[in-house]
Amino acid sequence: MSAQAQAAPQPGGLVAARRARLALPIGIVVGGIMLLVLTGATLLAPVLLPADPNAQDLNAMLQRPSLAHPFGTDNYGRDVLTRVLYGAGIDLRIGVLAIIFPFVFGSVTGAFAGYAGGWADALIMRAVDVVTAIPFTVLVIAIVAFLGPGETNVLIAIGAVDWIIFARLVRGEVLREKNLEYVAALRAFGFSRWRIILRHILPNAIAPAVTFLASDIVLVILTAAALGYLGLGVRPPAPEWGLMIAEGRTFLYTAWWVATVPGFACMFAGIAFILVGDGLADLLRVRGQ
Amino acid sequence: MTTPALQVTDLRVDIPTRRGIVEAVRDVSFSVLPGETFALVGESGSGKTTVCRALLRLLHPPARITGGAVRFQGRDLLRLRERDLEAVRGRGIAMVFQDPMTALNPVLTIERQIGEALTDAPRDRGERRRRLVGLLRQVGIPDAEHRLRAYPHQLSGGQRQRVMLAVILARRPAVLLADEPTTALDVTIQAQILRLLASLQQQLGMALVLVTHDLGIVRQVVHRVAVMYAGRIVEMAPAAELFARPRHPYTVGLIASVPSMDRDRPLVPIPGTPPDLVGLGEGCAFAPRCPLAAAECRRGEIPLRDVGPERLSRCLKAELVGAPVAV
Amino acid sequence: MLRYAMGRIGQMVPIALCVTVLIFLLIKLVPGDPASAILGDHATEASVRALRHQWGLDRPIWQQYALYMRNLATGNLGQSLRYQTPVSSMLPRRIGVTFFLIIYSLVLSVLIAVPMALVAALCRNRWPDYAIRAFLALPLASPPFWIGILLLIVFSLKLRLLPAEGYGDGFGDHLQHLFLPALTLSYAFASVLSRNLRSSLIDVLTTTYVDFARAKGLRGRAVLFGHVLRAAMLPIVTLVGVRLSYAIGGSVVIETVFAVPGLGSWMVDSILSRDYAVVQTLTLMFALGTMLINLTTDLIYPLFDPRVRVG
Repeated sequence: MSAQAQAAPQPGGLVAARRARLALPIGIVVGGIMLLVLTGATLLAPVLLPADPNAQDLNAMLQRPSLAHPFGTDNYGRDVLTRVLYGAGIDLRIGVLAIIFPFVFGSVTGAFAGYAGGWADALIMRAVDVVTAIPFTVLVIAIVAFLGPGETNVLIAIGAVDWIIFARLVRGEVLREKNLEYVAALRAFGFSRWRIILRHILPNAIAPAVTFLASDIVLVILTAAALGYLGLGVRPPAPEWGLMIAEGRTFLYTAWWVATVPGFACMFAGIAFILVGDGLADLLRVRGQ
Repeated sequence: MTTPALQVTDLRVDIPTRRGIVEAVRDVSFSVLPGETFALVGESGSGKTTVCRALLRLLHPPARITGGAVRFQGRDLLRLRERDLEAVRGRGIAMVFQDPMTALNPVLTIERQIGEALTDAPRDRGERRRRLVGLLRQVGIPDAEHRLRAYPHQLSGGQRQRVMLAVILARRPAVLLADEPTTALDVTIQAQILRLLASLQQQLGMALVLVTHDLGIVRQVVHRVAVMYAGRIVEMAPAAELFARPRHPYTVGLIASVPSMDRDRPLVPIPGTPPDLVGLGEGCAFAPRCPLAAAECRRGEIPLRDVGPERLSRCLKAELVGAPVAV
Repeated sequence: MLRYAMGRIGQMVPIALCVTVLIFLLIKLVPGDPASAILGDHATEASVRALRHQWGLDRPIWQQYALYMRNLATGNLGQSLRYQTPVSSMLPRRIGVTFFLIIYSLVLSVLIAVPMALVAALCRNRWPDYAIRAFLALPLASPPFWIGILLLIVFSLKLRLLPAEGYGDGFGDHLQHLFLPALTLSYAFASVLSRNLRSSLIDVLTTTYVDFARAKGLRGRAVLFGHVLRAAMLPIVTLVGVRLSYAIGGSVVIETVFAVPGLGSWMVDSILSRDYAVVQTLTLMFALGTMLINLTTDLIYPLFDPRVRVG
């Protein structure tokens, strides 16, 4: 009886051994690979495709996709594939640059508002309410309308509006954090308010903001593309995706590839960031448990 | 020998989790006669609520029933199609839940929530309301006409529990499963609800399966008791005998740990903690905490055996179990 | 209830005023002088000075604001340079078009999102759930105007099923012309709606009151529609209010893609022709619309959730 009992494996241990788990959720792996492909394409484009994306070939206008031009050519005879790859550089650059200020300024402001409370909080939240009252895209478009088109102005416009999202997120977290024990202890030690906020509370409160970063990059890229489409963003002849779609709009019936390919590229980038962002959120959530 | 209203045989419920499979319910068998009050007693995590939900197949995924049979009115409920089971729920076997705060839908009126339970709802709206008012009065809710139009958050906990019992009255089931019906209520209200339950039983000839951890209730109103531990029934006996002479060390511990008004009597908790239900292994699950545990208690399957007339125990040392200190 | 509504409106007024200030200040962003920017390089000094005087640009800033507000209050919204007609006469029709588009896309979103969320929630973690979530995740990553163009190509150009642009005459015509733009707008909105509804449904499906409803012996469908859906809608109402403002922003670009004569395309036209005053006014219109929608959502919510009703 006892020999049999010892030979029988413990159910718990057996189950644990059989379940081989991936170290990371599948989403983040796929998204990460997609991002690598994107950045690789961006960095290597000048090397792989030495052709100038703006080189015109008026003999080869609006050609269907072929071996020579895998995605066809546009109305100036420019190769669409080359332009799309170079365009990746532009939109990705805008995406990453545009979120820096909103993330930093928004998080610090939100943290301050949450911690300080009182009139500072009320003031900041009123400002947030005012900016929120105007739809995001409309306000960005309006700001660019007045500042004038161009990449720098796009960055400024987005920066001026996007920070509120982070401010709200971080403020919520800080409101929760500041009632925890360790904050009371820090105050009893006499640490200055700013030191407590920046060095202690913020690192703990920043998690939702970090997970939101990926979605925000997507939002920015889509907004930049929208501005490009309207002719308010990056100036031609730069191969910005939105701009390319607008240029292709006129030839939809005859040369649909000019307008559709850049959109697919944009979707690819968007999915990559969303997968990475969601995967990051899952990871952080599991760790936190 | 009267036919049981409900007969459960070898019920098994598994809950797959990340860490492994939780054996929530194992080899649970019991039967309940019409008009009888049967109690399932145990600490939280003993599986008593899971048994109740399993009887009506109301488990939440990923929990699943992996074995056993539930015979009711000549059919095995576990093998019925969902459509046919829906006909049994409410009318044949009904269930009331533990927390009255969450058991009623917050966005629907009381009238609506009892009304939908009427078995033969009259077409005429006025007639239906009269029936509902009658039901509310029977369960002792004052100002019934106004209460009908109210929403759950406007009633007290005790009133909400009465509303649930009004639903039961509307359905007139043969068996009622009551999952800790008084736990969330104040002590004074508890007694009222228990009296209401008893009167409903008498009116309808209902069998009552009472799930509770409150031994005080068990002493007062119950005919037979099954004590559960770690997903298994460890003892089953008529209520009076269970208290007079328990036949399982866990039952002894349970009775002894009930606080009493006698200040000189010390609070005696059961040492140790309930076991992890993943990978329980062999032997008696209570052994690590049992003062009577011996080597043979940790090996093999411990069966539920006869230890007297209508008495069962899953303890190898049942005969050695002493009488508890008088409560 | 009335007092609650008054309270909310009272809260909105200072925010609305600050919004006007913000929008008023926008024109200060123009590098250089807005008047000469509008009139172009060949404008004479005299005409530039005249325009500046007309706009009050030669006076201190707070007086400019006062003038601006006075104009708003009296309905003097200026003239559209592009169309050479008073703004106030063009406004109602344009607002009507955009309003139609938004409501249309809202209806389509609900029609798409609710069945999908139901299926996804009931088949949780099985293949229909994943398929639906993947399908609905795509628009979150893609430019909405591009999706509009794809739909245009397929339905309008290749299949010739629907008109490619414009607004049409008469209600039926409107429905036809606006179907593609509304569908484009609704795709992204339905995605968010569906994701949240699915989440809400899953939460409700595991509540005790749904268990009790089933324990009463209610049929599956009665439980689903009578109990589950009713309760799961609650968080959606608030969500619609919040996300709708973002959807409105999307309508600006969509109107341009489909040449829909609404507020959005007017705004883009005005931007391209440097019609700054109109741009300001239209931005204000969008802001007021958003605030109105938020107010409506707040006031509607108690209809759905009896717990917050007063008295």
